[in-house]
Parts: sequence; structure tokens; C-alpha cells
Amino acid sequence: MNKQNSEQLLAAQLSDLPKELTPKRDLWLGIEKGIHNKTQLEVSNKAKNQYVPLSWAASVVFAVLLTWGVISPQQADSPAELVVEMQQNFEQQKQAMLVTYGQPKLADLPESLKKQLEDLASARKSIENALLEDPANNDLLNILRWTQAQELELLTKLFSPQWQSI
Amino acid sequence: MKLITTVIPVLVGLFTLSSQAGENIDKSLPINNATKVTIENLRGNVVIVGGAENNISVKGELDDKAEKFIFEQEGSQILIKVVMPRHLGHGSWNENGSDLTINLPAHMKVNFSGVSSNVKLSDIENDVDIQTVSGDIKATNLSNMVHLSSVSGNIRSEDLDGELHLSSVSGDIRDKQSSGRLSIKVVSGNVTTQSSASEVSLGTVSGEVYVQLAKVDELSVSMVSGDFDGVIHVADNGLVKMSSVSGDLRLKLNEDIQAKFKVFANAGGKLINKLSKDKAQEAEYGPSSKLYFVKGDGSSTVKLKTVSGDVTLSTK
Repeated sequence: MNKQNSEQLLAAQLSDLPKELTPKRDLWLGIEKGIHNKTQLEVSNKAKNQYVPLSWAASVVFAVLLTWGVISPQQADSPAELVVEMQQNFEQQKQAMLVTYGQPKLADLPESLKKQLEDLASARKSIENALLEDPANNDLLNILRWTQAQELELLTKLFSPQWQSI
Repeated sequence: MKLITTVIPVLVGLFTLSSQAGENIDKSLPINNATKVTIENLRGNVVIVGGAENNISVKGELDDKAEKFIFEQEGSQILIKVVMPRHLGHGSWNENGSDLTINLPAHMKVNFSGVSSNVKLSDIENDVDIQTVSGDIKATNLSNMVHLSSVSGNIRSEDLDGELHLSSVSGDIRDKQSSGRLSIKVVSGNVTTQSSASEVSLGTVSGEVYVQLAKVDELSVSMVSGDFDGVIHVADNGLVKMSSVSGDLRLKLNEDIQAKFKVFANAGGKLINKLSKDKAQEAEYGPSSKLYFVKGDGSSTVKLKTVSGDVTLSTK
């Protein structure tokens, strides 16, 4: 076969070929889906970028609040509750102190000393009542604290080994 | 050095001798390097006087029931102690006890603990801490950090200067001519003070208070049901803060006082102003009332608060 014949054959075969070639499966669906996904991804990324600073801000606020909650002292909800709490703590301290001193019988004390303890208890009650009328009065809270301390000090003077040895 | 190590134990031995009950004593000890004296006496009377040279002396009579008298140096302190039987009950506190006079150098710190022991203390220039249960305390001419505390005993003080803390539960406190910073606290006892202290703090529950203060920079008073009467000269740029629940507050102030006044009554207390023509304003709703005014340039501040007590402001 010479060169001319082979060229004619190729041209004939080319002209026999179909003008369009249809793919065996429909690719347009995939392409369309791909384009749609890309758009969605861009929109979603944009939205994500908007949330990032907000997330950081929220994290910082959360961390600050958490730290505040952990570090700041536990406070009673109201001044009245604070007074109740102070009195309860005082009673616990007093009982613990009496246990340490071997549960002495306060009723066996001379009348003059019993009267001191009664006066102190009555003073505490008066201050507590006064605080009900004027709950945010820090001066009264300080007097209550001092009166409680005086009562504990008196018990120390009456029953502690150190004072017993005087 | 050898001399010290042999002499001191001998001296300690000499002065730790057992003493007979009710025995008269007359002993002294060199100060050496001691800076503090600790005295313990259950009952009786003890007089402590500063001004001795370089030794401490103890004279007088021991408690009839004393088991031992300790007078010795322990490191930097000298201990003076009347040792009593441990089985003595609280009821025996009021019986007669020791009667001692202790002379010591004025520069020493003094600690005293007694139960029904009365104590008189004078002319000390260093820190003083006196505590009794029912014993009275009388203190004169002390300077530095002074703590005087009793439960039912009365406290009398005169010419104290420094950081002064006087407290009692039911005993009365009477202070004269004090200066420095003064703090007085009582539960049911009454308080009288005539002081030129620059800072004064007073707290009482049911006790009555009468004060005369000369040029006070800062006065703080907290009272529950007791009444307060004060003749007070407030210094320039001074601060007066007082609060009371049901007790009355009556203040006579210096005529030339320059202050902002804020007086407040929560529940029915009357506010009477004789310092200026300003009148108290009653709340539209509720029983509270307030009295705000300025006198002069208002450089000082007077804040008074009561729940149901009356407040009266006037000049001296």
C-alpha cells in the first residue's frame, strides 16, 4: 500500500466518524451537582468565618465567668442569710471548743459568770434583730462578729488549759 | 560565757524556790537581755510600776493557797507566776489572793493574765497586754501598743498614748486624757472618755457612751441600743461616722465646724438640727427621713445613721 492510498483510507474513515459523541452515562448531573456543592461550600465557609470571632468571644466570656465563680468567695444570697450563716458558724465553733475542753457543764458556773454568758447571748440576739431591721449595716455585722469573739474568748478563759493553769 | 552559764541556772534555781502559802516575799532579778515580763496571778491585787533601773523586784504577800512562786528568766522573757492548785473551782475566784507590787524597767513589754486579780499599772513605755476575767484594771501613763481587756471588770485609764485598745463585756470603761489612736468596745458596760486621740473607734451593744473629744480626725461609732452623748471637736478634713439601731445620738460639735452632713433615720427616728436652719425631710412613703446640709466649706464629713433612735446636732 502506497502513501497516497493510506491517506485516502484515513480521510474516508474520518468522514465516517459521527459528528457528536454522546457519553455512555449522563455526566451533566454530576457536573451540576459539583457546581452546586461548590457554591454551598463557599456560602458555608463564609458563615463559618462569621462565627469564629463570636466563638472566641463566647469562650473568653465563659472562661472569665468560670474563673470569677471559682475564685470569688461564696457569698450568702442576702444579708439576712449572711447573719444566719454567721450565727451557725459561731455555734459550730462554740460546740467544737466545748468538746475540746471536755464538755464542761456551763450550768455549774457561778451565777456571775453564767450572767456574762447570758448577757453575751442576749447581745447577739439583739444585734441579730437589729440586723433584720437594717440588714446592710456593716457596723452591726462587725459588732456581731466582735460579740461572738468575746463569747469564745470568755469560754477560753473559763476552760482552756492555759487559763486553768493560772 | 562560763560565768553566765553557771550563774544564770543558780539564779533561776534560787528564785524558783517553793514558797509557803501566804508567805511574804521580797525578791529581785537582774534583767540581763530580757525584754518582756509575763505575769500570771489568779486572784488578789497586783501593782506594776515602771521606772526601775536594770532589775525586776517583787514584793508583797502570796495567795494563801499558792503552791509555788515562779520568778525566773526564760530566754528573752521573765516569768512571774503564782502557781495555784488546779482543783480550785470557779467559785473560789472571789476569795482573797496575792497582794504583790512589781517594779520593772519602763522599757520592758508587759503581759498580765489574771482571773479575779485586780491590776494597777503605771509608767510603762513599751507594749502592754492586760487580760482579766472579773478583775478591775487601772492603767496610768502608758505609751505604745496598749491592750486592756476584761470580761466583767471595770477599766480605768489615764494618760495613755499610742495604739490603745480597751474592751470589756459588762465592765465600765472610763478613760481620761488619752491620745494617739483609741479603740473602745463594750457589750453592756458604759463608756466615758475624755480624749485628744486623733482616731477614735467606739462600739457598744447596750452600753451608754459619753465622750469628750478634742480635735478628732476620724471618729467611728457603732451602737445598738445604748445612747451616745458627745462633745466633739472635729478637725479640718475630719470624718465622723456613726450608726445606731435604737439608741439616741446626741452630738455637740465645735461651732466653726466645716462639714457636709448626711443624717438618715430608717424607721421613725427624729432628726433634730440645731446647727443650721436646715430641716429633716420625711420620705413621701414610709417612716424614713433624712437631713442633708453643708456647713462652711464642707471639708469634713459627718455621716450619721439610725434605725429608730433620735439624732440631735448642736454646738458646744
